[in-house]
Order: sequence, then structure tokens, then C-alpha cells
Amino acid sequence: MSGTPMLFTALGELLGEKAGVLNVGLEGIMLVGGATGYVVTCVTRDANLGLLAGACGGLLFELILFTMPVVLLNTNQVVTGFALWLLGLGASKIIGVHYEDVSAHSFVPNVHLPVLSQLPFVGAVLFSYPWPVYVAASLPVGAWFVLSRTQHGLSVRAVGDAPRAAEAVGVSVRRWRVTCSVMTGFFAGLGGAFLTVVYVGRWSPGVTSGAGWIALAIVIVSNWHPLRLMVTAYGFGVLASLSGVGGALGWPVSSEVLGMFPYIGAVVLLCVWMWPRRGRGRRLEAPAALGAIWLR
Amino acid sequence: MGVSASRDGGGRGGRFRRAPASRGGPLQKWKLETRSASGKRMWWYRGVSFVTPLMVAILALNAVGNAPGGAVGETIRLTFGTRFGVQEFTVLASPLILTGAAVAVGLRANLWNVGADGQLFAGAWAATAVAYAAPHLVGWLLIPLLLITSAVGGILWILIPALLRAYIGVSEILTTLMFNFVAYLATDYFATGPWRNPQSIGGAIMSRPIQPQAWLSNVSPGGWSVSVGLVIALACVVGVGIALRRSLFGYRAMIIGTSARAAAYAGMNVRRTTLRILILSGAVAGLAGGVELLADVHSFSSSLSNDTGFIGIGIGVLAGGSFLGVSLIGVVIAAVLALSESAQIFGVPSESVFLIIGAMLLATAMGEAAARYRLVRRAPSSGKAPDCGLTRAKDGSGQS
Amino acid sequence: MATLVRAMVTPPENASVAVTTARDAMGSPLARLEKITKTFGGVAALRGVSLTFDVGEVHAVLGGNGAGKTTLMKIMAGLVHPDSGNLWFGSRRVTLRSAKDALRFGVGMVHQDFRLVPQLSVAENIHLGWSSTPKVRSSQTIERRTRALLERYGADLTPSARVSELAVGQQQQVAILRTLSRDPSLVILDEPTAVLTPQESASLFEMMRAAADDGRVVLFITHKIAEALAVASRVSVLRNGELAGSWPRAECESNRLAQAMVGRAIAAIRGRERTRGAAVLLAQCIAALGDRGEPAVRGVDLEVRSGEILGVAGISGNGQLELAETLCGLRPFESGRLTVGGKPVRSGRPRDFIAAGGAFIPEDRIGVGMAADASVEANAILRTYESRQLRRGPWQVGREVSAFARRLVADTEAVVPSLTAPVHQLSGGNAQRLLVGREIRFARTLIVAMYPTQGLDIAASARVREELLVAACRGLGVLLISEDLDEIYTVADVIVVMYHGSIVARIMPSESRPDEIGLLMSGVVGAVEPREGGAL
Repeated sequence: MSGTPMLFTALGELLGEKAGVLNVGLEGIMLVGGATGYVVTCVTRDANLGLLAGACGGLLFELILFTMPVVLLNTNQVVTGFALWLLGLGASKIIGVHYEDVSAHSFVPNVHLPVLSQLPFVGAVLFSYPWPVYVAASLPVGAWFVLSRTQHGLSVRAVGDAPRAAEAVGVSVRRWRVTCSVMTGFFAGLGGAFLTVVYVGRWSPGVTSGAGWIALAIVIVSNWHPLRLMVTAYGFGVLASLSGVGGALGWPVSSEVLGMFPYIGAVVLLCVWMWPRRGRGRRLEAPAALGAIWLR
Repeated sequence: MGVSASRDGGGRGGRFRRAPASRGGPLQKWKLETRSASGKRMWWYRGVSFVTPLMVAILALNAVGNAPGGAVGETIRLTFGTRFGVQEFTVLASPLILTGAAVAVGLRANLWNVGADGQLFAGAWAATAVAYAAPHLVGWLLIPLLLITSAVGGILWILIPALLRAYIGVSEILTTLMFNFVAYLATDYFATGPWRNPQSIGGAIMSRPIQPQAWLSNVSPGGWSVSVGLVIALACVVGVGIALRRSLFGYRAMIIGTSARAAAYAGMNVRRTTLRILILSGAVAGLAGGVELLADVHSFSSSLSNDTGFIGIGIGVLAGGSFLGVSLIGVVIAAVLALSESAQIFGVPSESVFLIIGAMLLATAMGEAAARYRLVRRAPSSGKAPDCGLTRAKDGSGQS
Repeated sequence: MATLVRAMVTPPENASVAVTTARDAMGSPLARLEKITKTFGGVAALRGVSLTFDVGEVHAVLGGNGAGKTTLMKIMAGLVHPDSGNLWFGSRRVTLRSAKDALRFGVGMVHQDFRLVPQLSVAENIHLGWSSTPKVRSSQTIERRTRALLERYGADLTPSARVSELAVGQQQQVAILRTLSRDPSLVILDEPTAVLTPQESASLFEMMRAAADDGRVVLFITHKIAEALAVASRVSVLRNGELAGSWPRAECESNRLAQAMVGRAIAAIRGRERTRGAAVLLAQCIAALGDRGEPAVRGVDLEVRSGEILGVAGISGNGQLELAETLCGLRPFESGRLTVGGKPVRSGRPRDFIAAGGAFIPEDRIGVGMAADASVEANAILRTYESRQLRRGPWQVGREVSAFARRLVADTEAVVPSLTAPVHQLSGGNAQRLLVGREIRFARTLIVAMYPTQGLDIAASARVREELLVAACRGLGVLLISEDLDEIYTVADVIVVMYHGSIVARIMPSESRPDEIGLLMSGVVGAVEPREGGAL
């Protein structure tokens, strides 16, 4: 469950990066999505609507403040991403200012998959989750399929690897970058909304505590491959829930130390993953034109 | 589709796009062309885009604030009109300038030290530890010692990410960031655990205060009260700035920052320089922690930083590589922060400062882009010269 | 390559409108450019150029670098928009908004840099953006389709192979196939022979003629007069953005074309007498790996003496880049010994190479030889920033640095906006001048020059060759890596041929002919009678 917000966000970023757009402001988008989603949930008493609202909020936020400057005006992607994050910090607080510590009184019910959830032990653990979790789990598969098995996916990959080549055959670089970037916003917003509405159940500024950044690490560590991304995201979910679990089970280690695990884990993973690739002979599958400016 | 085929003689003249818009739609109408960026133009655009959000913010403040007759005036008076206000302002500015400088150091070699916050805490931690260990050391010995210790603390905290980046190539953005979070948690642990203040009011994450002789006080030029921390910060920034501008080390860092391949070609030891730059960056950020500890908070607590490290990133980027700029912008940002604190009385939420800084960053990025490129409408088929959409270009180069 | 002839001869299935009408009227204009003008920044790339392309002709567009040829072709292919002027297809005036539009009108372009996606497979590259590919398909499907295409055109490629792993000539085949598969009626080839041996070029020419005979128009860009004369039915010359002349083949001859290209008579370079001294470069059994771990340099032995110019001929992609990088310390070598100027150079240590007095003019001038975003000043001292003159302890002496830079700019006659302007603002030619000047002045023992005149026009190329000759007279040794056999013949004292990472022959220019070397370059062993056959 805790991996789901990161999964959404990381997948969104993967799509964007495959088209060559690097967005470091994911944290900001998640915050905005989270705040928007929570507010709408409180107001409408409908958690599903809230989730949708959060996703749309993220989409709009990203579209106006990131996609347009970066894709259309060619602003520096990293700087604009940072700006996005800071703006997200501020905007989300303002949006959610009256709703901190207010309970939403609305839940997204667990969906018990028909047969599978009856299985003795595994059933309750693996197959009884709110619907977004299932969506999140199937998204990477869908992404993989689209990216590798459709013409659209091919176009996206070409745009991210060799935009000049794509343009020479008539694929519109700009169009795909905008499309994928907007999807980043949508999914990151959804991830944030899921976090506040479903997982944590509350809004507070900074509730994401780095999830957006970890999503970036997830994309890199998974070598830009959707299926590996899924595994990595859930792995991080496990790490992130350690401190909660540890507290509940009465482990002798302080909660703070346990809380460090996701972050240290990210560093270790990055390290382990990049070690064999240092120097020449790298097999980084990063889209070659990631972050590159495009003058058309 | 997107092709017009007008008859000879151009019946429809320039208005050719009545054919159903290609799915590119408005995206295809415009394109960007490079134009030569004169340094002057660049700074002009940056300056304008830097100031604009500020203006907007001030106006917004005015509109939102509840005070009758101008929240702006009141806020300014509160912040800068009183002796206490100015003093608090200088205290606020010191660590910001230092973290901004730390980030600027990294940026010189195109390295992003996002972990300034964590290094700040690490520096403060180290200083606190030493302070506790030497309770009776006299002031004028203790203070420099603690400041140096805080710099060392920052170095220690950035060391692993720096090594990872220099020798393995792991993105320093991610590693330093992760270390930030670890630092936050460690701070909570120490402040509420081993170093807990027995007299602290429940809920405050604060350690025992450090000995008074280590507290930095203020100097008083001409009746105003300026924190010594600010002096230290400015001195440090100026020193680092000169060092990087004029030294071989700085030159190497700059070359590496612009082109690692050219640096290798020139025989530079990229790894060693990368490591050194990051270490320097960490040291400065750690020093920020030390200054904050000694001048302001006086105990190890999570209030040592109010996202200072992250705002420092904004400062470093906005300064665009100039250390003088870091000082100036640091001061401006500190002013914004101070103002927004005072403005809270009038109902302006405190996080709005992030909005402002974020807007400034975005505006600056757009300003840079506007200085570098111009928007050109795709030429209609009539054979006239194209319509220059946004801005006029001067001379320039640029060729496909 | 020769087998691709069939490709062009097969009549197009879905003939576009333009071709159908045109085929009935061989010799009538298929496309026309009228008074095309294009300015980039303040520099006019094209000035009122008008050209007509008739059905069935092979039209060569000749010109030096910067003459505007590529820009003109890009306009035809929809990648660049003219500032003014008209484009006609058949009798319709047309505006192309993008490459997609051009494709619709049957224009296909094979770019000089191929514009392929290296990370994708052959099949994926060919199917990219192809409207007749099914929207949802597996890789097997497109591989099957590609195989059919390859068979039909007789190309020997594996559909699933990653393009980055193909040889350069094969990559060109993929690029050509990609263009052909869209059934174009106007085919544009941008400097297609740059990567081919003389034999392969001849096949390409056959193919071009066959295509033209079939009712298409073949346009090709080149700066080599001989080529234009060999295959074209019409030759147009561009100079400085203007049309200097356009003649049918019958009216063309070499000198006239050359003069049109350059605007003045060209003087030949005269060789000078030089004494040979001790070896400045001694490479023994050097072996190095390429970027993907495959052997790129296999047991190479080289010797360059002081005062000598050694030319390394070979088609790019046969290990020259890796060899050059290895010699300069930018790439570690697995085995062998390297000595420059008497001093040993350790594997992967550029500093050793620099300390031994070696200079390197890299293929990627702006990417490797200079830091593009750094100032002219900063780049000028890139080699010498640690010299005692420019520093005082750990500090740089700003005044001396500026003086040094100013001298360099003056000596090389490079045009720079200012000393503090970033290098990417300079034109390619000026940056190259600075680079070459800097390296030649810095070198004390050896200069490794890799494609030093690539991208330069005739006058600038002549200058560079002059400078290399002068350097050799001064006692330096020069290792010249070039694809241009003319250049090597003009300048080098000794020629070695590199193929597949090894030196396959060492020849004196006076004792061989270019086409023999061409054979060697494509791996045909024993093409030259054993005078000094085999490796050193």
C-alpha cells in the first residue's frame, strides 16, 4: 500500500523521461495533488472524487507551470523543476490551510477480489485493497505494453532517444513531450492524492516527506523499465512502512532510525546499481535526449 | 492537413491555415530559434524576471492583508524600522547566505548540492557535540573551534555522496537529498533522546542549550544591531567567491562544469576536483549550521533550519554563479522571509514565501529562455518576412 | 550496397500524385525552388536561390561548407522554413510545415548524420512514424515486415539488430531503406559518400541513376567535384548562399566548377623539404577496447618521426577514433607500450601525453576539444593553464591569461565577439581555427589530428594543411587521421591504412594510387603489390 503513491509518481515520471522530459518537481506535484484531493474529499465527502480531483490538480499544476515553460519555451528543465517544487510547497499549504487535522470522513473501500481474497492467509494480505492499488499495479504492465508494442510507444521512445531522428520521419517531438509530461503531472497528482486520502488519511504540509524525490530514484534504479519500476516502488514501500510496523510490533529500535531506511535504502540501491557501470561501458538505458533542449 | 496549397497568385493570401488543424494544432504554429545571447541582455532579462514576482507578491500582500491602510507599510515598519527587527533580519540572513553560497560552489562545477539542509544539521550536531564535551572552554577559543567543527561536520555529511558521485557517478542530487532526510530523523533522535533538555516544554524538539560563552552576539555599527553571524557569513562568501574565481581549482571546476570531456581532454583529474568541490560545498553548509547554532537557536533542535537549505538552492540558482549575487540575493530573500513572518499578523500564510521564491525561480528560468530564444510564427506561404512573435532579436549566430 | 539498385528500380506502389503526373512527362519540372532566402540570426544562409528539378534527373548540388547546400535541402524536406521564397511541387505552390508534410508530397531525405535512433533496432527505426504500420504490434510483426523489405531490396541486415551496433555503412543502408520505404518521388541524399569506399560509392551512383531513370528525382549534396561529374545529369553550385551557376553535365568541367565554388583559382599546396629526426611517437602493439567492450584497436604498431607526417587512411568506424583517443590518453589501452617524445605515456593518462608535449585535434571539436559554454579565454588556456607564466601558486593571473588569449585569437585570425564570449557563439570555422591554432602552438613533439578539415571550406582546409606542414617543418611529428584521400595524398609522407582496428598496409604516396588504397580501406587484402606489405 505504501508503495502505491510512489508507484504512481514514478511511473508518471518514467513516461515523461522516456520522452526526454526530466521533472525534478515531483514532490511539489504530489503535494498539490495531495492537498487538492484531500480538500475535495472533505468538501464532497466522496473519496473517489477527491482522488480524481487530486490527479487533475496535479495535471493542471504541471501543465501550466512546467510543461509549458519547458517544452514550449525551452527553459532549463532542472531549474524549472525546482521552481515547481517550491511552488508546490507553497500552493499546497495554501490550498489545504483550512483542512489540516480535519478528518475526511470518507473512505475508499477495500475491494475484495472475488476468489483470491478468500485464500487463507494470502487473501487478506494481497487481494483486499482499495481500487487505486489495483490500478497502480496494472499501470506498469500497461506502460510496458504501450511502450514496446505500439507505434505510439515507439514514437515516444524515439523522441526521448533521438529527437532529430524522430523529427526527420515526421514524429512531432513537441507533441509527445507535452503528452508525456502532462501524464507525469496526472499520475504524480494521483499519487499524492492517494497518499493523503487513502493511505495517511490526513493532510499536513510536507506529508509526502520525500516521496517525490524517491520516485526519481526509483526511475533511475529501474533502468527506465516499467516492470522493474513496479518492483522497486513496492520495495521502497516496504522500507517506508518499516517505522510504522516497527512501532506497532514493539521493536527495540527507535522509530527515527527505522524511518531512515527508505532513504538509506535509496542511496544504497543507487550505489549498488551504478557500481558496475562506472567508467566506460555503461549500460544506462536512460533516454539519450533526457533534458536536452529542443528547438522546434 | 498542415500543408497549404494555394493557387498561383495566392488567392487567399496569407491566411492559409483554414484547413483543419493538424493534430499538432497550436503547437505547430510556433517555433523557437536561437539568438545570440549578449551578456547584458541576459542580465537584464534575469533582473526583470527576478524583480517581477517580488512586485506581484508585494501587491498581493497588500490586497490580502487585513490591516487597514496597507499591510505593506506596516510590515516593512515592523521588520526594518525597529532595532530588534533589523537584528532579527541579520540573524535570518546569515545561514541563508551560507547555504546559498554552498549551493553556488557546487553549481560552479554543475554539481547540485541539494543536501545543504542536512549538512547544516550535521554541522550543528558536530558543534553541539564538541560544545558539550568542553563546557569550560573560554569564549574566544570556543567560538572559532565550534565554527570550524561545524564546517567539518558538514564535510562529513557530504562525504559519502561526494565519493559516490566522484568515483561511481551516482547522482549527487539524489544522494544528498536522501541524506537530508536521514539528518532530519537523526536530529529528532538526538534532540529528544541523548541530548534532551530536561526542562523543555513538552513537544518542543530541542536539546539542552550550549554554554553561553559560545553564543554569538551582535556588533553595533552606528546604532543598528547586526549579528556577528552575518559578518562571518559575508566574509566566508566573499572569500570562497574570490578563491573560486581566481584559483586554478576554480578554473578546473568551471571547465568540468561546462564539459567533462573537455576537462578530461585537458588532463584534469575530474574525480579529485569533483570531490573537492563537493567537500567545500558541504563545509560551507555545515558552517551555516554552526552560525545558526551559535547566533540564534543556541541548542540543537529542528528549528535550526526552516528549509534554509532548500531556499539556499533557490538563492544559489538565482545568483547564477556570482558570489556577490549570492550575498545580494540572500539578503533579498531574507528580507522576503522576514517580511512574510511579520505579515503573518495580517493573515498571510507563512508558506507563501515558497510561492514567491518558486515564482522567482520560474520567472528567471523563463527570462533566461526569453533571452536565449525568440518565438517565431511559422511563415505563411505568401512570401513575406515572418512575423516575429514575442521579441525582436538582435544579431546572432545559430545555424542548424 | 550494389544490391540496393533493385530498390530504386522497383516502381512505387502507391504513387503519389506528383509522381504519376510526372512520370508521363519525363524532363518536366517536378519541383521548383523560387527565390529562397533564409537567415539564421544575422547570417544569411541562402539568398534568393532558385532551382528547378526535372523528372528523371540526378541533380548534384555542389558547394563548400557553409555554402547553404544542407539548408536548401532541409527546406525541401520540410525541416527548415524559408524566410521568403516559394516552393513548388508540380504546378502547386506549397508550404511545408514539417517533415511530415514533406513526406506527404513524396520527398524523402537521407541526412548526412542519418538521423537514426541508435538505441532502437533496425526494424524499429524503419517503422518509426510510418503510417502504414499497424498501431498495435509486436516486435515480431515489424521484424517480419522489415525482413520482407530487406529481401525485396537485397540488403543484408538483421532486423532485430540495434542500430548502434552496426557499421557506419550499414547504418547508412538503414537510413536509405527508411526513406525508400515511404516511396518518395524526390530523394535527397546529403553527402552520402562520406562514409563509403570508392567502390561502394560507385554502386551508390548506379543506384541513383537507376532511380532517376525510373521517374524520380534524385538530389544529392556533395563538396566533391569528381563525384558530381561522375553521376549527375545536372550540376548546380552554391557559394555563400547564392546560386553560382547551374549547368547540365555536358557543359561542366572540373576547373570551372571549382572556380564557381570558391570564386577564385586555387593554388596547389607545395610540399617542402623536411629532415626526419628521432621518433616522436612510438606505439607498440597497442590494443584497446571500444565503448561496448569490443576490441577496437588490435595490436597496432606505429611510428612517427620528428618532421614527418603520417597519414592514417580508413573509413570512419574502423578504430581510428579509439586509436587516437588511446594515443592521447583519453582511452585506456589493454596492452602495449606507448612513448611520446621519448617519454612513456601510461594507459589512460592524458596528463602524461600533455606533459610529453603532445597535442590532439579531436574529431568532436566543440564537445571534446573545447568547453562550449566557457569563454574564449578559458578555452584558450585549456592546455597551458598550469604553465608558470599564467599562474602564481594556486592562483591564476588574470592579466596574463587575457594576454595569452588575445595573442592566440590574433595569430589564428579567428573572429570572436569578445574574449569573454562563450565558445558556442563562434561559428564552427572560427572555433576550429582557435582549436587548431592552440594545439599546434602548444605541441612540442607530436600532433594527433583527427579529421582536422572536416566541416571547413576549401580555403580554411588549405590553411589547416599549411599549418600542419609548417609544424612538421618545425620538427614536430604529425599523425593525420583522415577519410579524405586527397588530403592524405597532399600532405602525408607515409600512409598507413586502418581496417577493423589493425594497420593493414603501409605505403608511400608516390608508390600507390587512391583506388588501391580504397580497396585496402574496405578490407581487400593484397590489393597493393607487396612493396612494403603488411603491418610495420
